Amino acid sequence: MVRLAAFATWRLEQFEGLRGSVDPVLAAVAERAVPELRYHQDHAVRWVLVLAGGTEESRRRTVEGVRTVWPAVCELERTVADPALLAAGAVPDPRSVWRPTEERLREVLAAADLEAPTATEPGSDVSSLLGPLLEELQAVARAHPRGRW
Amino acid sequence: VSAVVERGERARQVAGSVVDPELPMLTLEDLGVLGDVEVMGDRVVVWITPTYTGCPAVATMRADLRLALTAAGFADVDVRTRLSPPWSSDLITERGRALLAAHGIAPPGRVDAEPGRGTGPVDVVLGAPVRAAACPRCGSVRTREISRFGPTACTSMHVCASCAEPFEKVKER
Repeated sequence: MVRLAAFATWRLEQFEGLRGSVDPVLAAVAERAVPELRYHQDHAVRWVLVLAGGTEESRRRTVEGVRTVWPAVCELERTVADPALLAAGAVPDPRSVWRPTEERLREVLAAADLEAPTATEPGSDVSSLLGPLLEELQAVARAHPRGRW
Repeated sequence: VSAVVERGERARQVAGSVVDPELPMLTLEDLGVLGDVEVMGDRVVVWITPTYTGCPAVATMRADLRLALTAAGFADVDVRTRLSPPWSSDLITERGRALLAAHGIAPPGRVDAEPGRGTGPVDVVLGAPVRAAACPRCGSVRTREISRFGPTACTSMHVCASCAEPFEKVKER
């Protein structure tokens, strides 16, 4: 739930930005997705609040969830947009997406009486887990080139 | 000319009678999904405004439209998607709302009447659900939301405290 709350919050900001895209299809898709993302965010945020204020066990797990997810949330700050798309006004500036995301997540954490872990040192972008992960993702494509079997 | 007009009306009528696969008491017209139906000779172009992103019913809607129009003698059917303006539950017709209620599904309220939509920060106030849904069976407003996510993307689950019946409600969006 913590992960969904964080991701939906960021995604909502991103799509709210995309509504102003110069690309009419991207703008229309974003326009349509915003109320749905708002549902996801609302759903997850409500659960985070309930779980953080619930039993000792639910609170323990929620605190653990924040601790686990937070380094990944902080990585969203370093999202990079394609410079050409950004210059053309097709995608929002990642910084304008990150700032309100962080603000809102801190609001949620404060309301749930949870502490945001202190910012972690950005780690390596890839770890040794990436190899097996890619292997699994590519297994079908490799076994069946061009999707034919 | 009248034959052309008649064909156009016929295509509209056929397309308008296709029902939603998830809420089969409603036609696509009742649901507000059906847009323009254009006839050019043997060719029919049907515009639809899909409801929810990733709603699996949309593929079935396309297939059903194609099937119905082909059966009605239109050889070339093209179902196209119009994304803007986006679909809203406000587009469900009065007839559609009455049919939903008659089938035990609470119709959505008006979107613009929904409090706290869109503008403010995250709604972190816990308490009563955003709005009480009237029970489609007994009319009581002593109902409670039990899940924001029902069996389909567009519905939530509620239970009535007066008659104890659980029911679905089409969400506002």
